[in-house]
Amino acid sequence: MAIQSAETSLTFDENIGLIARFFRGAKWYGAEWYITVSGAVILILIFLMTILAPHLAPYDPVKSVGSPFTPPGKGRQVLIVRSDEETIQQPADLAGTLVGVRANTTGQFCALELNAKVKKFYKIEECFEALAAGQVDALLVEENVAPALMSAYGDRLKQIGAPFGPTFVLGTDNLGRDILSRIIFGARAVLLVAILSAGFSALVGVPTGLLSGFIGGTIDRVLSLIMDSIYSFPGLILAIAMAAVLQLQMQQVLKNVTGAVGLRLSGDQTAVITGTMTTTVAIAVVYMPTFFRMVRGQVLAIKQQLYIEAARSLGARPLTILFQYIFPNVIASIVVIFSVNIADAILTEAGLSFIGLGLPPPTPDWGYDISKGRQFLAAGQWWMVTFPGLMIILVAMGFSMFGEGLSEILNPRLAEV
Amino acid sequence: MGSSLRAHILTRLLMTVPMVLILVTLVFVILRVMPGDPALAMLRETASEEQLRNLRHALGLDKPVLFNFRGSTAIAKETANLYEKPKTDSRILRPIEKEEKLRITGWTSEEGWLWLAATEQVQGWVRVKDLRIGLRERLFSTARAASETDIYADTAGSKVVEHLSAGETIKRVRVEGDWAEVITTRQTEGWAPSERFEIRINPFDSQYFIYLWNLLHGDLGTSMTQRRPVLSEIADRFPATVELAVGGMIVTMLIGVSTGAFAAQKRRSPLDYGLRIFSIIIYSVPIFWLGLVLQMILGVRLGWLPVAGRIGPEIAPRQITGLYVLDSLLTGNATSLVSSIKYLIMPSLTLGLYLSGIFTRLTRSNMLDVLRQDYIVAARARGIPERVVVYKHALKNAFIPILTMMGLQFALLLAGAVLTETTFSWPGLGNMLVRRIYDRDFSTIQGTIVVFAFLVAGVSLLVDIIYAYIDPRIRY
Repeated sequence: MAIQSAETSLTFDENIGLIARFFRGAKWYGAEWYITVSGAVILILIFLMTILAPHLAPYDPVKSVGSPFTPPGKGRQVLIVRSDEETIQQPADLAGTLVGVRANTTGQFCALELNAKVKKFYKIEECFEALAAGQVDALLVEENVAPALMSAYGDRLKQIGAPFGPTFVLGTDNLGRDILSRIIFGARAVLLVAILSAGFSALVGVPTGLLSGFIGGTIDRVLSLIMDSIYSFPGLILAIAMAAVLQLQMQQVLKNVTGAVGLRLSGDQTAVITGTMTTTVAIAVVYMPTFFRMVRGQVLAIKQQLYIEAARSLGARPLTILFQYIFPNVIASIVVIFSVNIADAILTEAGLSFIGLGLPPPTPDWGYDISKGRQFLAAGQWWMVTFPGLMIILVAMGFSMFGEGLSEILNPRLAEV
Repeated sequence: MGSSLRAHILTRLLMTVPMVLILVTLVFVILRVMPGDPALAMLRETASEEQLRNLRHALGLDKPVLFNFRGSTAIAKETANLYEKPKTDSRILRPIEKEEKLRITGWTSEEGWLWLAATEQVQGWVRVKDLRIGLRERLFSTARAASETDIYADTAGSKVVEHLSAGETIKRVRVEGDWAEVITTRQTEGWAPSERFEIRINPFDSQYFIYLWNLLHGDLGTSMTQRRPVLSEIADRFPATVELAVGGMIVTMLIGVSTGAFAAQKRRSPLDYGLRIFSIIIYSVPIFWLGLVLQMILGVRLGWLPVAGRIGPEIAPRQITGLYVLDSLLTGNATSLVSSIKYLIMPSLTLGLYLSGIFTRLTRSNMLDVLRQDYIVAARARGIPERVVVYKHALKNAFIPILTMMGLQFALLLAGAVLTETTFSWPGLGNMLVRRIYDRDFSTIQGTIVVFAFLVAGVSLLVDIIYAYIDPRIRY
């Protein structure tokens, strides 16, 4: 594709601005350019979201901030008083009054914010009875439940003003936590694990691949056999097995390490570090062979090139050849594989945390949130599952689009491998 | 031709051996050699030292990992006693005669003392009615005592050799009419002073080689939580996984191959790009989420298909193959056929859709290769309609590489199946694996993963052989 559009148009002009050259790539590379750039845009947005998470997230991701199971876009409160009520005309008048709410709902949080005294009830019907009986001065209830219950009391109760208070754009989960905030913070865990594990894989896979391809012989054969075996094994299953074992043993290891350094960690910190380490290592092992195979293949191909022959005949030492002549030519492919690999790692991490082998709760983690939301799917509460899943797709797509588009641009034949 | 094919198959078989060995070793390394103690992990932190020791011993974890230079058997140089504790004033468990052979089990040896096991196998006759011989257990020729009974020296029941308590496992059984000849594996273990023994060293009496040896015998160990052989646990679930995999494969072929061929035919059209974007998106979709969304739409909202499980509660067909759809057909059970297909649709669709992205791309590139061939040009030149050229001439020839791809994607299929099974509570291997992880049942985890490794190696072998059959150029 790249070749064809190059034939049809363009002469290369060096005197052209960087930005103009960037956009000229669209003509030069065609569809691949659009794929790469949209991938890059997604990634930039995601990274910004990760960095700015505390500013973007409307609520604390691990705290209950509203009614459980609030549907997306809902959560606003209606103020209800007795018809003969005179003093309460607007929400601000609630300060100091006794407000009836259902326990652990948005209403309770709202009432506390308005400096009202709160009387909690377990059932919403009890709230209405209490108001009608004069036990409380006012009620704060969700707008979607108010009309049906009000009608039973005829004109003995009235609603004051329009609905007000917080709305939850993506709804809340079973513990009343804001899903939007959890999604925004969840990107941190997922990206951390995915990038760390891809880094570890590259750290092992690239040097072994370089050496194996360069040295050849028995070492090459043994390493290839081992890596090919790992590669042929279903990655997720391998990761599951490793995570299952490591999860239990990492704690012992961490305890020894922190004990030796003299560091003291709280229980929560230990759990988070253990979880991160476990998933990272499990995923890293699974994707090591990808780097190894690719680098080794490239080294084997480059070794045949004339300029390597020339360097060797000029008396360059093997290590010089490897690091100055071969390695720079492999870097581009490593970047591509790295990006595609992160996409895979994200999906594997999501899979691991879906079956409960990821980070410990309450840490926001998309896969885990989906597995929790799954229990409430049958009751029609779809939002707990849908939104974290969409985020996983978006991030994985960003990395794979960036990687694959780049690979077509850098080397049109690599994609076929 | 036949001999070269046979030679090819033989070479390929030989190549499979190191691959399987490495995979199996990999599983061993992951589960046993990793830092930390599996026994401690299984029993959690509250376990006592005694419990830990017992479990380690039961799992064989107290043996050396790779090679055993500690000694594996001991032969008594003179008569000795087997003591309960490494002290001569402790209870004597059993006298040892001169020249008697005992096993040194992995337990730590104390100063001047050895932990030994007398390997006595009691042989004799038992009434068949006192035994419980399961179908699957008969396969391994093992049985369990149904009730408390005695083992007799002969079928006349004249002399009692040994007492058998209810539920006890018997190692070998040979049934002869009303009587069965049984061999139990009761072993006495205890301490004995080491200077009285001539110690034989068998370097292969280690965790790793025992593991390999057991695998070679089809022994995957015993599930610690279920108290039955891991292999029979796996055999129970295997058909469900096969059924799901086949269903998923059918969906993948239907969707992936047709869209791939379509994209190749309409190359560089908006449709081609659309399908390419589809394949990128579908590859980025977590399979469990795809399953949940399908559940949400088809199961909960529309109520067309059941959300989880394998078949309706009351209508499982008589088991023949364990594949419910096939069993229903074989027994002519229409209700269970409808039910099992209904339950199968959504998981298969999930798995199939997930894999179809890759297949679309691979089929497309293969089709493009084929469409460039001379005979396609010739066919077009002869005025054969484009549709016939693409879907008959080209697709048929693109099928061989597609078959190979199926073999390569099998690992992905298995990985996808694990999550699909978890999502749909499908009672297959993957679902079992995940459950046993919660139970910390390491023998089952290990067994299941080994089975997956064998599956991968087996399928890749099978695909290669089929490939060689179809395409004679492969046989070199």
